[in-house]
Amino acid sequence: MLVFWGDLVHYLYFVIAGIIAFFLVKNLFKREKRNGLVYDIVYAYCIIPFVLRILFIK
Amino acid sequence: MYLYTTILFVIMVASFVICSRKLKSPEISMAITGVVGALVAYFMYLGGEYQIDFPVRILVEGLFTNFDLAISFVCASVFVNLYSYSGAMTAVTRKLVGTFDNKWILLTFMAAFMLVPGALTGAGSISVFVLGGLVATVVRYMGLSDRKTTAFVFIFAILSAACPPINLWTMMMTAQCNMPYVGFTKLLALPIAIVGIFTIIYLGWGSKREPKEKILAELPEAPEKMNMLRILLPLVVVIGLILLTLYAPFDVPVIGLPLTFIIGSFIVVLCNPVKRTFKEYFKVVNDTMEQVFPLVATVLSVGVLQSSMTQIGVKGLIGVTFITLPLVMLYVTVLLFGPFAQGCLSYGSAIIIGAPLVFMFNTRGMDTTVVCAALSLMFPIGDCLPPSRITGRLTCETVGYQGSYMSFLKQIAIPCALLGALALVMFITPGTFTFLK
Amino acid sequence: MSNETTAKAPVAFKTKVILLIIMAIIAFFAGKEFWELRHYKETFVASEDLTQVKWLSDYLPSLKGTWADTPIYVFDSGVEGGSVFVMGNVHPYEPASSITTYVMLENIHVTTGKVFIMPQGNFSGSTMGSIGGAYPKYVHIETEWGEKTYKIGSRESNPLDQWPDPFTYVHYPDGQNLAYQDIRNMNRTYPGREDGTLTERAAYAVMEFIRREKIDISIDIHEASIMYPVVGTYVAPDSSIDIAMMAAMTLSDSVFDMKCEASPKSLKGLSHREWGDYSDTLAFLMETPEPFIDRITGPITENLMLYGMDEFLVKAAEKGLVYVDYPVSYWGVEGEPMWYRVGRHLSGALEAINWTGLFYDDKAVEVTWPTYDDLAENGLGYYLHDPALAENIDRVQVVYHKPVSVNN
Repeated sequence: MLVFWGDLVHYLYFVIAGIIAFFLVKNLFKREKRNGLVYDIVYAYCIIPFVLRILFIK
Repeated sequence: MYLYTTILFVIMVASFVICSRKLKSPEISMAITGVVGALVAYFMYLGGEYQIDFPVRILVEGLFTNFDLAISFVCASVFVNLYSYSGAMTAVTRKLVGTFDNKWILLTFMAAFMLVPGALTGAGSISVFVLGGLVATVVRYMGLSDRKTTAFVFIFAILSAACPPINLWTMMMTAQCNMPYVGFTKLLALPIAIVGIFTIIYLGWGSKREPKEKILAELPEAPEKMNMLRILLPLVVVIGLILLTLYAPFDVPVIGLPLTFIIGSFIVVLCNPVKRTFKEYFKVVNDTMEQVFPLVATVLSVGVLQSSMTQIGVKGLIGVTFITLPLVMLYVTVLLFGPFAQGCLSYGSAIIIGAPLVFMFNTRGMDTTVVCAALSLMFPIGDCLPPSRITGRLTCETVGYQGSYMSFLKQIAIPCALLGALALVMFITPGTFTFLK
Repeated sequence: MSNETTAKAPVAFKTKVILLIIMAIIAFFAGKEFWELRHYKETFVASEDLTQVKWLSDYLPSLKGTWADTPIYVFDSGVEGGSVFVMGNVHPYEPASSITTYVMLENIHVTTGKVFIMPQGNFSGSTMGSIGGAYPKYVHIETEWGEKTYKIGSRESNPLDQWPDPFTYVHYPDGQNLAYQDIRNMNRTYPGREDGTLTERAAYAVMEFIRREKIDISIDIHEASIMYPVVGTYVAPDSSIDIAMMAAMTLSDSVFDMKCEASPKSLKGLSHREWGDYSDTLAFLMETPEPFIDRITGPITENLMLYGMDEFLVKAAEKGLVYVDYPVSYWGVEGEPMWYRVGRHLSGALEAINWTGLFYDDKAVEVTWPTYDDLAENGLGYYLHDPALAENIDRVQVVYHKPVSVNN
């Protein structure tokens, strides 16, 4: 049973990573503060690990 | 190799300084510095005996160094912001201010509160996330200036990270050195208690508490149906899950801090006396993401910088320069190198600087448990130093400090110096402190 | 702080899309490399003595289909005798350990007893580079017929297979607190838990394997940084320390310096402690010098992995901060080269097996594979056979987390 719960938690983390990725993409395009190009670049590269994780690549 | 890596180090420092000035973003400055260092090194080493892989994979891999930490930050922030949004934070503040009349008692309580999350999780940033805002509000009402309030939160955040039972620097050093993580409780707790008491007096001295009635009048009203159950249940669930992980680890799956905070967030929503729509909660989470993003970007970017420094040999240069110093110079400079390494490498400092020192002192017959504890008290000081300055930045943002970062550093200098001095004495004369094991 | 939060003119939507595309391209190229390493399949030409292939999941079914499952190759002489288990790559960033097992697997000849060889102890850990370690993906060994490619993995299991980490790892069953990432470090999770995390379950399966197969001699092959005192050594618990001592003395007397250390009783989760405590096996852990994993090296390159020469470490050695002779010169090449590290392990394992047979008749195993002297004479690549040769094709084995045929 613990193995099942462990697996469930494992996959929940991919869901969490996916939700964060969604907000990062959303905020890249529309946000209230730090609207300059610099933070656009920061947003863009910070999305990378979340995407690679939810695609089971890294 | 010394020449090459020194040139690369200089290029990286210059790149960081220029980017920081021009772009006004420490996150991108660290990432660019990492990219510049890696690319220059790639072409510098090309065709030679030190030829490295083209750095794309390494730089992207760096984004994963602190990936879990970034997710923890997001989830902790979501929990705290939802908790505040429910009005529970206001209610807690009102109850605390209403219950305790004495400034010193309240400051001591706030200090003790701050220590708990970091002591249980090993991360001072979690203390700031979870309690920083609340503590700052109360401390301000005790008459402390914004600068002193920020210093108060920061000092207790770094003390909480060093505080037993979970001290990550010590754990990493003991893991590297194949030492059991045993015998550190009193060795860490005593200096932390001394610095903590000193900080309360140092920062609280001369401040004048405003009358209780005035504070309560200024504080927003808590929602009508907010009762102790609604206030405490989310906190009890979060702390309960953390304690379960520590004390019943074989009966529960590994939940991890992020999911702990997510579960806590659901409890907050359930306990909210005011029924809110999905859209309203969505906005809170979205605002939280925007608020916490600079910190997320910082920890991800510092990973890029670290990966780059590792690949091109600059990390090795820093490490070897320090650990091959003569013993006297080592004693003289450890308080610079230790925190500096923490600023550059965060917990990597324990592995790169800490572990070799522990081995070295072991061969000299010194007590490695005390040496390990001493180093674990020095590294946290670097949490306010560039390039990463993670806890420092987080504290300023959480407290809403508007002054310059340098003025904040000046305010924390004396408590940090005391912590450093105590650690240095332990480091130089470990034999004297073996009674605390 | 105020400068960082100053609002600026919004950037055009098109620019943001372009940025996203640029990052997607970067992610694609990096992701392609991550994917390649994750799915890379090492191969070897099995010795004609191979009798059976077992799987770790045979001893704990919940591992089946996971990335912790890994093959165990069985060489049964058919003659009654002892049994030996050799395990490589529990820490997959120590590839001399897996390469040692491949040399064994390709060249082993058993005349008495049984030998079990597991080349990828922590398969999941072999599917990624060490985060923050900036490792090259592969190490290439030159042979007469071309290059043989092996993975450089990580110390811990891959988070894709085991995630999240707790904020502190509490060791089962002793309750000792260890650094959080050690929950994915297989050599901190013994004796393992049947219903624990993936790494704990893999460790449990190894213990089950040792118990069920009644393994007499268990050898866990590692590499260590040269600034780590436990390097160039056997580590053994009380039950096997005398044998390890004799083996170390024999090697030091005639082949290379080999130390011998007693397994600390207070340190939990390691094979040299728990294998002996939770089974009747005689446990040995072997460490050989691997400068590549020292923390203060210069650029991280494949050359550093292959030859182990680093100027910063020379400086550290001058200051007395390393625990082996460094650098050592072999054929005009200075460092700690791969053939030397593999050769040490090959002879180290053989010596431990031979001395066990001398201590206990019923545990005797007669086995041969190339030794340190053979590698010194012929090089490492000489003992890795060409899988493309007609006579070898049928003996090619693919090492993956599930059964895979050569053509897949």
